[in-house]
Amino acid sequence: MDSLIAKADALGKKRKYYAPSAAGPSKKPQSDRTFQSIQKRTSVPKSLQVVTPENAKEYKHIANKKLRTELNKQSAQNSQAKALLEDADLLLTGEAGMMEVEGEMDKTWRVGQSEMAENSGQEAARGRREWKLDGGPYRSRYTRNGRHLAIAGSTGHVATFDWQSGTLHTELQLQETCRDITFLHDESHFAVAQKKYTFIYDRDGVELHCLKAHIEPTRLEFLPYHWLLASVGNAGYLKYQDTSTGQLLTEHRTKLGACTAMTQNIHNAVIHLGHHNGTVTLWTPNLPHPAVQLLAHMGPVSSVSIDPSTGGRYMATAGKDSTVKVWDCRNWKGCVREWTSRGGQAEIEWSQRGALAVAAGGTVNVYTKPSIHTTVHGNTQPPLYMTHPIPQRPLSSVRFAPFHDILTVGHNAGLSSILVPGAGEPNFDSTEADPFENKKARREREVKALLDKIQPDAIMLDPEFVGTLAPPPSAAEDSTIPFARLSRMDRLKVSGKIDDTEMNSSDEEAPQDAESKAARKEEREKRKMRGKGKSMKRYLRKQRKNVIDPRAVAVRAKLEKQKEQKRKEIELRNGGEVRKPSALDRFKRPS
Amino acid sequence: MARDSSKFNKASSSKARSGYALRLAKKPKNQLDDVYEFSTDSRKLGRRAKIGMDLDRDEDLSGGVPDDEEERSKLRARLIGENEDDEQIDSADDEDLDSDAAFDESDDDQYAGFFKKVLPSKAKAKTNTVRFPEVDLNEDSEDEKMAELSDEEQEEDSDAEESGEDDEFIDVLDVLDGRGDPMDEDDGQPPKRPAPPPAEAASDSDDEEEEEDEDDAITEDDGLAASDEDVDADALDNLHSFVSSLPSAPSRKRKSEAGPSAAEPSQPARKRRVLKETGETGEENEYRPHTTGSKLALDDFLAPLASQPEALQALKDSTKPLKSSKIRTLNAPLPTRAQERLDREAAYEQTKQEVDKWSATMKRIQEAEHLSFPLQAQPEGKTSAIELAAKFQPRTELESSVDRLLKSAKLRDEDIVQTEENMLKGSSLSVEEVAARRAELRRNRELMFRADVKAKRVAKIKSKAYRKIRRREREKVDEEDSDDEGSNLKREVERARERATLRHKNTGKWAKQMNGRAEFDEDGGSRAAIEEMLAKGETLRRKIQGKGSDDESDDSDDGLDDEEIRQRAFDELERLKQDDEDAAANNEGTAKGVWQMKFMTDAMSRKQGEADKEVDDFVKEMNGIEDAAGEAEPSSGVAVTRAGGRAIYRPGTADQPKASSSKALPEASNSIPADGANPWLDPAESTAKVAKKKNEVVISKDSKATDKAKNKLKKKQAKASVGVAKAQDDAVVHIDVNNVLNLASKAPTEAEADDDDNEEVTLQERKLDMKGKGKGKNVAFEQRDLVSRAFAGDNVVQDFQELKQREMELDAPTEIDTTLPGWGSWGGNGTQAPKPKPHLIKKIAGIDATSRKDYGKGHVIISERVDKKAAKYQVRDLPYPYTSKAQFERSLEQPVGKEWNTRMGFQKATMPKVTKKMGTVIDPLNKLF
Repeated sequence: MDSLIAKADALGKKRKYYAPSAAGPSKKPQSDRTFQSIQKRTSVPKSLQVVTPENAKEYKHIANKKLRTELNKQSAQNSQAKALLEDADLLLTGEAGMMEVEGEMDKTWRVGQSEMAENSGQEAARGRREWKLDGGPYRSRYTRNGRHLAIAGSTGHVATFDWQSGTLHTELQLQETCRDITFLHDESHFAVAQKKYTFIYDRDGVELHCLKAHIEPTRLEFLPYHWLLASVGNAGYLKYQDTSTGQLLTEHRTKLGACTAMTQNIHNAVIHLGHHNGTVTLWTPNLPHPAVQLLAHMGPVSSVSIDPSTGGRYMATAGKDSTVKVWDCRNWKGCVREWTSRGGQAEIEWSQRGALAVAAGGTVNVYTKPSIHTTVHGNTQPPLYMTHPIPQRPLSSVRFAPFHDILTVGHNAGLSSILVPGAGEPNFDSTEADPFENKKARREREVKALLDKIQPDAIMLDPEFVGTLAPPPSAAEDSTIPFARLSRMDRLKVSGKIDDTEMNSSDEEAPQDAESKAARKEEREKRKMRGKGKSMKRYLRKQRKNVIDPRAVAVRAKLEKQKEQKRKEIELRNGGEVRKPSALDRFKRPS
Repeated sequence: MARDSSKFNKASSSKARSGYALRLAKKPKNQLDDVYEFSTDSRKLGRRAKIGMDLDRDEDLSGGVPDDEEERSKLRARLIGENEDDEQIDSADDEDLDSDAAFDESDDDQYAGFFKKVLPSKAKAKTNTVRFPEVDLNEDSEDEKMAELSDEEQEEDSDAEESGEDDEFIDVLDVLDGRGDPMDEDDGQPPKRPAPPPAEAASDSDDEEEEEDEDDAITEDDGLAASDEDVDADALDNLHSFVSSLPSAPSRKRKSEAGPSAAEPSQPARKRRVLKETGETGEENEYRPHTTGSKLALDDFLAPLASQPEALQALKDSTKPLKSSKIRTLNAPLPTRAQERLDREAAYEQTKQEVDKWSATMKRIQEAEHLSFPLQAQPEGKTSAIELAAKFQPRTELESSVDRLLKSAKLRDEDIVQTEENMLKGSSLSVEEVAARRAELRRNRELMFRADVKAKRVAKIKSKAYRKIRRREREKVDEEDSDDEGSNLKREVERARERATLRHKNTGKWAKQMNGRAEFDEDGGSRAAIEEMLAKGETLRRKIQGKGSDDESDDSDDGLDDEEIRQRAFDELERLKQDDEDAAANNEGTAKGVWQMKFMTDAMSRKQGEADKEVDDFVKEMNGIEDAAGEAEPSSGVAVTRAGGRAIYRPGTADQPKASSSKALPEASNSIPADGANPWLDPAESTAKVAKKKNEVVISKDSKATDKAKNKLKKKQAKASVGVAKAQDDAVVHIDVNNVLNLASKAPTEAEADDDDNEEVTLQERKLDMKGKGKGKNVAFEQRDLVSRAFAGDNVVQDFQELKQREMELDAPTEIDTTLPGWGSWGGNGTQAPKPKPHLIKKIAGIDATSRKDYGKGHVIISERVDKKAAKYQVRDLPYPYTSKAQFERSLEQPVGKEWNTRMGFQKATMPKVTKKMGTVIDPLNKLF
């Protein structure tokens, strides 16, 4: 917005362009017609000129003009891009909205589903549904665009359908236990964790693959950007199957037995597993051991979920000790909040906008954002946003529908969708996940996603590590490495050319300024290539070619002689007598 | 003839410098400065100047390398302007290089006198001149030899021989070559001219030029002497010349002393003064004209051709360049290396200049962030509409038909002005028409703004009524106070002050002053002051007339009470309404055109509605005020506003914070709607408490200090009593019957909830209840329950801690002793255990416990092992331009891709450095002048 105002206000602040017109040579081009003739075509087009925002960082301290210009340009570009993004937020017109009450005495949780459905719009009210189905507790999963729903009953009833239009894609009766179901990259394929193996079906319910490597799977997750199907089973193996190539990428032995809680962090594609000993482990395909192990509960972990609204910062876990805990995944400093959920083990799920649904016992409770992220010590339940009783126990799964204010709860007698105002993201990115995409768009996206597939070894806890500077090897302090073989960073350090204005003092030894400075200077002096510039050496270096010059030979001989003499002197001073080198010297222990 | 004589002298001096004498004479000069030393600009010469000092092979071959430098330098090729830009051939050099001198005896040696046309007079002179013993005989012998060799020539040129003047003859070849100088002054040399001492020749050429004047004087004498001289008196002649030269010596000496060191070396040479025989022998005859005073010029030679004017003219033209005194012999060209160097330097200057014209342009191109080729595209001008219209030619049928129509209506561009003028001329309006038109316009305007006008009027009525009522109230209050002495006194003082300041009149001294100053006062400060004064005067006048400051002039209802004011306002509104209706009725029929359109009527009715609503509001409010005035004192200190049936109490600023809280209370409690449905609101006691508390806070800014203090005290007391009150309160609450019932009914409710009721809701409700009455015991129960559940898993915590310990040990830096037992140590009894050998201890780097990321966090293990597979996605070393990690990371900070940027941001970030159209030829830049 600021940039818009700045543009409109021509008389206001002086605009700075990074076009060379300002920085370029302007001594006498007024009269130079050649110069004038190229001026237009050598400057950045007006529409693409970068307006330097006020807060752009400036590198005035850098002496090198080229670098300074480059860095200034870059920072201007960055801050303008950010400003433009902020401006573009205006275009996100959809409002999430929440249920709000007028007085302090009113409570949002007093509002029931029927009331909500009555008062909401016709389209939104369609989200309130009950699917009465036989075949045990159901699990469900939405596609990323929130349009299609896959359900799997534990006794083998599997169906996928477009829940908005009501078109059923397929309905299967698999006649064996189905523990989980997930869509792959879109609604055209889905994987079912069946009694013995994982199977992949296409949209029409045709069995495409039987993944025999995934034995007795209990939970499935699909990593959309990496095209990886991850499964964990009763045997406690976490397996990654690349669905674009069909290869089993890796399998990690968790050594923690059967696992029934699994989720992915959509932010960094790390798989979180909840185990029976109360730990939650974080896995990447690269590491054969968990990146992080967290003792979350005193009993088995029943469910794990990550908050997508905060970039994967918060994780919620529910245990069979009937507690729900919220953790901060950045520093793992204890749990942010914990409370007791009534009715034993809970299923939890975080919505796109950060509403946390906890399905435990016979109720689904929804808590909202600011309160569940605020640190509170002790066991206190955050203020309840809304609640809905479902008598058909157990509640086996909770899923929020993306881009909708809908929560689908799988239970013993089918599924029930309830309305949770403000749960879904109102503004969708159609290049990312388009609820209204047609067949052609789906195909396009499939191809594009394949092309943009991220390699699985790029999965790390910190997703921004790609392209960063690797930490220096631990042996960098070894002063025996000659200058020429040092890394550029070290060379800059040694020669004192490094720009240390932005080094944070925490990792460097900031105190003892004068002392450290002196020490550094000394070291720099030491590490400098001393003696290379001496005139005699230079002369000899020049003569070092294959030319045998009597003068050079003589000089060399003289130097040798001097050296020898010096050595002898030193020896005399030290030992008193000149000791001949013996053959046994080679066995001397280096000290 | 002074000029001529000077020339003579010069010629004679140069003449004197031939042969040995010349060489001798030049010796000191050579010592002075070399040709290359002569150059002042040593920078340009550089190292190569030395190289030039050597002779070419040809020169070497040409026999003897001349002894003295001057000769050698003469041999060397040289170009004008070699060393200096403004170098010129100095006359001395030129003079030296007469044909004879250039081709002296040494050359004769080589060329065997081939080029010698004339025997030097010396041969002849030898016989009859007295020679000084110092004269080198060798020269003479050569001359003799030469004489013998060119015997025949001698005979042929016997006349010339007789004349004894060799220099008068010009070699034609030389002339054509430009080497010889036919116009050289030597030619006109007088035969009996005494030779000047060589010292003169030795002096620097520059000096020579300076000396010219002095020489003139000398030579004049000489000339006179020479003319007097007889031919046959050779010896006498010589002596005479010698003697005549003597007096001039001191002056020359002076000259040389005055000059630079150039003359000094010549002094030793004076000893060996050679007085050469230059005199002539023989009779004067037709071949040897008597040449006293006049010099033989080219014209003399051309004189015989006078009979043939054309030929003469042609010849004269052709010899013109020869006449010019500026024509000298050309110097020999420079050595090629020197020449080339000079050429290069000159060329460099030129090219540099040429290239510098491009420098700004090229710098721009180099530094440009973006280039779009072709760089010198012609700016595409935008075609204006006028241009297009001018070019327009109807092509299609439609176009031509339209054109035809326009043409027939005379509406085309060419004749539209004319047409319009005609139309204007034709139209004339009558007064009635104009009046009707204006009336219509007015009506339209009225229609447009009727609602606005009405709203404004309503507002006016409203405000007037309000103000009147307000004033009435204030007056009422004032009346109570007015009778006391203090206020009267105060008013009097105020009035006096007003009068004293004289700020109420325009005629006062001050006002005049200010008026005078106004023109100097730019910022209008004085004007403001005057305005203030006028305003004050106005108010005073009003006071005198007994009016309020803010009263309107039509304030005729002074004596009326509130009720009447209100009534009047209503009346006025009624009238307004009536007017409105009338106007509407009038306009019913007349409204037409745009006003008839639906959207206009809609908009108008909407506006009308708004205005009506305002009226209604006002009426309602007036009634409301009536009520409020009837019930509560307006000065109660609590502002009560009604919004939708609910009264909101908030502290208001009151003129009289006298209002007792006890009086306000019942109203407050009454105004709260008793809502049985809300359990939090129905206990009367609690609401009373709330109200009380609120009333205590009623302290406004302008309330009295005592009130404030009182309030503070009250607050303190309340605070002190809070603890006691709370305890009492709690005690009361705990014995509350309802609460007991709740606790008792806990189990059944839970059981109930299992069926279908929303247990969470009931739980929450109960919790809310609990919160109202303080913390219950079931929290403790929950805690105990939690503790019991916490240890459901067995040894979970302990296991985890062990695991973490293992992990830490695994990651910690380790030292492995690779010593082989028994090796390098003695065995047997009495031996000491060998010392640890540091070189055999292998150190494995790791992370010690304290620097781990999970240090101090008992519940978490964060793996510290390096992800080797991911390491390939990292940058090993700091990339080139950046000088710190922060700089580099900032370059990656903002993603570039479309997915993370707006379209503009993406385009800006990815703008290519060079853009060009596909398949176009990129021409080189043109230099524009």
